[in-house]
Amino acid sequence: MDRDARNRIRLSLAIGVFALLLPAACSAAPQPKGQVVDITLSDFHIDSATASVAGGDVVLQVHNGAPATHEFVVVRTNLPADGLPLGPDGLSVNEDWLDGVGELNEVPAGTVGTLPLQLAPGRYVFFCNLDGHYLGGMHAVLEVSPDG
Amino acid sequence: MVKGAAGRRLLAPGALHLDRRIGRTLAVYLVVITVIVGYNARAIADQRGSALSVNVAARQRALAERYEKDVILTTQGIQADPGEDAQQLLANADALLHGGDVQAVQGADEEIHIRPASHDPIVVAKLTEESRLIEELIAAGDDLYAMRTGQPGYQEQLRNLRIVGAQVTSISNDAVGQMTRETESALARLVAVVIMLGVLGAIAALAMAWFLRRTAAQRAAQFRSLVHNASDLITVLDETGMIRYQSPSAEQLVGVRSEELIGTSYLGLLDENDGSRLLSILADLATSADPTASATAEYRLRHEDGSWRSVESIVSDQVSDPTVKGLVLNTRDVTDRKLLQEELAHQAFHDPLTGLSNRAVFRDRVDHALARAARIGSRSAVFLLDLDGFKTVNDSLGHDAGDQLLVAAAQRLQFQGRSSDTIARIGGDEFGILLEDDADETSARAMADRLLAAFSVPFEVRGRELFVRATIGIALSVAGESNTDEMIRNADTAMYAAKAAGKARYEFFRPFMHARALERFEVQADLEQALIRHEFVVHYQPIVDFESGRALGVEALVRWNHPTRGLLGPLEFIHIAEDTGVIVPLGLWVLGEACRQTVAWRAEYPEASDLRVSVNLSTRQLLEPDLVPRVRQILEASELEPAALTLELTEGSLMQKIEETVTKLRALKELGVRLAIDDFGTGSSSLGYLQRFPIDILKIDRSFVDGIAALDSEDPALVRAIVEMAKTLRLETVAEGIEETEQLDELRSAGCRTGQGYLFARPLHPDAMGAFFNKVADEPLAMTRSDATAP
Repeated sequence: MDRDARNRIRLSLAIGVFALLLPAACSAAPQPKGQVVDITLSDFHIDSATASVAGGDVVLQVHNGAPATHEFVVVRTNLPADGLPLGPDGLSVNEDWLDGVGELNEVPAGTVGTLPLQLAPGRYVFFCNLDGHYLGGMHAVLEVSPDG
Repeated sequence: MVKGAAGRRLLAPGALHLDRRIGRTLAVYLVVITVIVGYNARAIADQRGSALSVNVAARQRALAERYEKDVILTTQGIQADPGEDAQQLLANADALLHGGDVQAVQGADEEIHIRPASHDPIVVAKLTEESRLIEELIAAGDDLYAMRTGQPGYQEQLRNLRIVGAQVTSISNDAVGQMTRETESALARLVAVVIMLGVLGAIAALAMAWFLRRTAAQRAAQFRSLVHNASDLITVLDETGMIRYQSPSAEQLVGVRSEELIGTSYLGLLDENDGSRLLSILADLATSADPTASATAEYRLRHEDGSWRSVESIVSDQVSDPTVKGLVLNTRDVTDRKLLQEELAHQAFHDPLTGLSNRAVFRDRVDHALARAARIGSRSAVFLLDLDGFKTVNDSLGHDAGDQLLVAAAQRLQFQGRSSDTIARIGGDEFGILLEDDADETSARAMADRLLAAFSVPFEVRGRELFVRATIGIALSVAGESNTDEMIRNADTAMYAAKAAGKARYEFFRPFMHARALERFEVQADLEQALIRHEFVVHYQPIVDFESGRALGVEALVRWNHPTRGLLGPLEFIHIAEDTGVIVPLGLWVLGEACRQTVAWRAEYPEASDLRVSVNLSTRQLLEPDLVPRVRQILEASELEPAALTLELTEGSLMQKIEETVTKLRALKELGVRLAIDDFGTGSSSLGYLQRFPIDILKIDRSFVDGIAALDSEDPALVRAIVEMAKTLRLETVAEGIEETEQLDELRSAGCRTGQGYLFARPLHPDAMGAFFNKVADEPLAMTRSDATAP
């Protein structure tokens, strides 16, 4: 065996050691089923692509276009969107008094959160319940009509 | 030997190659380590900067809350400074975005510089949003600041301030969280990279260690192979002279396997003298102040088979070197070199042919002898001995025969000398003999007699007997006055004098000889010019018919009318003319002159109308390729009838290049010229040879004639035999050197009819010849000696 061949073997051994240190490749998550509703968060606004959907499986795709991280809470209520009961500090909604349907605790800036829900017909309000965000105007309404 | 040399040649570039590889490996390792350390240093600095920014960002929330509280307190009439808070909030927000100076600790004067908190677009966006909200907060604060509790719109404005304050708090937390996460992931990345670099460094270090170890192993292997395969011996001795290590090549040199030598005494391989010499060298080295000193020793090692090898050792003291701890001998077999040196030394001092000392040694010995003689008041004698007729042997029988003769002569000389005498070959056929200690004329004479006697017996060369005699010149030192040059020159002069006196004899140097030798040099110088200046004259000696007293012919004899030294006979210059080659043109001139003169006499004197002329032809002339055409030209030019010309040759000259000579002589015969052998009986020619040459006349040498009239002499019988033989071979005889009437009578009774000599006439000037012709015509039988009295 000549010297060049031995050098090549040494090099490939070294590369192998580094390859072991690399993290394993990530695998993709399965896509949930249902009617997709695109919702966009911005600083102190929530825009829904649609104001109403038919009941059943609904997938809320929450795009955070704001620089800040936001929360996304869904409650079923007939109260006006800006008339939800506040907590003792007067800076956030008191969720205990509401019929919570689902929520995304954290939607980081520039990401999309997916919230699959089984929605019965009724009126739903979305809001961000970080201090001052709801009061700053981060709320929207979705009407869910009966099937058919 | 060859193997070792080749090994060294091949290994040298190899070692260089190893050095380069070590250098490259170290350089790569250094670069890797520098990159790792540099990267770590920078990463740590980055982390420190990030930590400062996070600290400042985290303080923004507390500042915003204090601002909010200070504004509310102010509206309630309590003293507070929300303006200061607002200023800090804005300054910090700007510094976080763009870098700048901020308070080190909240409320303190000390400032620190921070870099922009991040280049990550998300962090930048959050900080920008925070900055915007802070401005909004301050605007809301300004609006409330102008009011008092209970004023209309106060509650609404306060609520607005709280909402914006909460938003600032929220975004601030968010930004700090993001920054912290970013810092953490950067830290994680850093840790990964540091681990990776650490692993890389470790691998590089391991690779380098492995490589250096392998290189060292290669070096050691090379050294081992060098030591094992080198013909040079490497020996390590302990301090008591015992062999601790011995390289394998010892077996070739001393015939013992190196393993068996270990533990034995190195000095045991040397003889006693060499051993004690080497021991003292080792001792000197051990006590030397210079620890790097080395010494060279030449000595001999005994081979197992009893033979001795000459070696040369370079010894170095490495007792203090912990890896050696001994005396190291690097030993080389120099036997061949020694033999060559001895051979060269012998060649430098000895004549390669005869094995005698050479000229340089002879001079050296004479130097020493003279110095010694001067010291103790004794005398030395220098003999120069020259072989007579050596040139003839060399020319006629070839150089091999000449060399054989020289070797044989050298042996005879050695046999005669005492062990204390130096006998040397000075050059050519010349030998030098030095007698040391109490040399005097008597002891030198005895030696010279012995030497001459040694040459009285013929030499046998190539199955032939050669009579070669020696002529010796002797110089005796004069205490304290002689030097080497002078001694040798004097001996040489004496030798020439002996030769001139007739060879096969010795002469002591006498001061007058010196003058004669000088003359000889002058002759040599003048000779060349003499021909051009017409200084030569031809004299003629009549060759007489014993019966009638008439001159049947004349022998032409050249004389040199020297401008300062008078008339010189041929003995004084002919051999020099031979040596220098002047003899060739001179001989032709004599021949032409003699022919012309003879024709003139034939015309002038009736008595000389059939006069013949004899002219000597030298050896050198006979060897000239155009001899025959030149003779023909001269005959034609002079209009002499060819039969009237006799060319005389010596026996010696006939013996050279015999085939060629016979051809030339035949060609001369065809011209009609007659040929005579001069000085017959003195040379080495046998009668058998005579038949091969187309000879007409034998001239009986004067030495036979000298003794012909003496009592108890064998010469009359010899002369009679020569004449008889000549008759048998149908040759004429002419006797030379007749000086007395008794000789003439004997010659006549022996049957010889013609001759020449002072009894009839000495060689005469051409002008005197007329008188001779006339006189003989007047009194044909009056052969008195009156004409021949004057020499």
